Amino acid sequence: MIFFIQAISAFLAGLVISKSWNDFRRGREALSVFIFWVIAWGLIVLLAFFPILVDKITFALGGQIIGMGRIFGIALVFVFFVVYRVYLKSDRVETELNELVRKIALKKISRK
Amino acid sequence: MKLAIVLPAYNEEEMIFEVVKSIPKKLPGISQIKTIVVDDGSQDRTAQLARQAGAKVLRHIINLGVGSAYKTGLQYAKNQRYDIVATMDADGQHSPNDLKKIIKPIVGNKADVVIGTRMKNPQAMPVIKILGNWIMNCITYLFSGIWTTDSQSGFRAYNKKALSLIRPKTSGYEICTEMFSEIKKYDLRFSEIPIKVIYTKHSRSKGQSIANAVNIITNLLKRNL
Repeated sequence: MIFFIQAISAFLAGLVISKSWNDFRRGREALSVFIFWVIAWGLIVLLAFFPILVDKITFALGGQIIGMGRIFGIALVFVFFVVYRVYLKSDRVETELNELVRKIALKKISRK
Repeated sequence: MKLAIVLPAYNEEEMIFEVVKSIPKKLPGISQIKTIVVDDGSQDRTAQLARQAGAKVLRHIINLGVGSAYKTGLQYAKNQRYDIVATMDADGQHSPNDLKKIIKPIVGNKADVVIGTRMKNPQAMPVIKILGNWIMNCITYLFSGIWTTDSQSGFRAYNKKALSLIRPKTSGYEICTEMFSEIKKYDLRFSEIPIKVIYTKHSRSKGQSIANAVNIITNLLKRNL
């Protein structure tokens, strides 16, 4: 029986990987980035279908079963960190883009 | 004294020619007047028509937002060593006859920044805009500590001192509020002058909506972090 979370993770993985593959084919994305997404989403799907693996891994590493709740908590912290990094980058790019467009406008007018 | 009039414009082909042409050629205490249109990546004939009307046109190759257009205009005026810079909306809602009133406190060295307020004579202003403006005035007070009757007015004037000190960071409509934070920060003298507002079908369709308040608050929080 397939649970909702398994179906949705498989669907999202398919979506991300196919988009990444398209970007890679068109030269918009490096091979290493495509491989990263395949591995990352492959892992997500694997864990969604076999959640027992999480307990096996943590048990092997720490010697105790920590449960899915804690795993989700850690994942959430990680996701917030990624969002923060993306926000910082996009903000910097936006500021630089603004500066660039302004410099072009001022340079063009000074030439006239 | 040299005066630059900065008009940020985005897809304003309907009004820009008329607005630029209506700028007075002579003003008391002013020896030179130059109109500067900052075309913020328009897809229509805004730049072409502004040039035809006699304005100097600075063109953003992409649309960045009204705040960025202001910054480009102010930077240009600063580089060209203008003594006073007035900003006006390009949609024709401001009366060029008010320019004389707006620059007067600066020419007389009584203020560093002058805000043209529509709220002392708001008859023509739609009720929804009055309400939106009041909300934005409260937000401006929270962020800057300055109470103003028209925080979103685009009709303003700055002297050389204000131009050299003010360094806005935002690129959208929130620049209107951010300017008050800069006024407070540098302890600039500011005054409000009542202005006439001309609401036409075109100018009503322009400007910002109340829904934009959420964006403005978010961007102001980002700026202050």
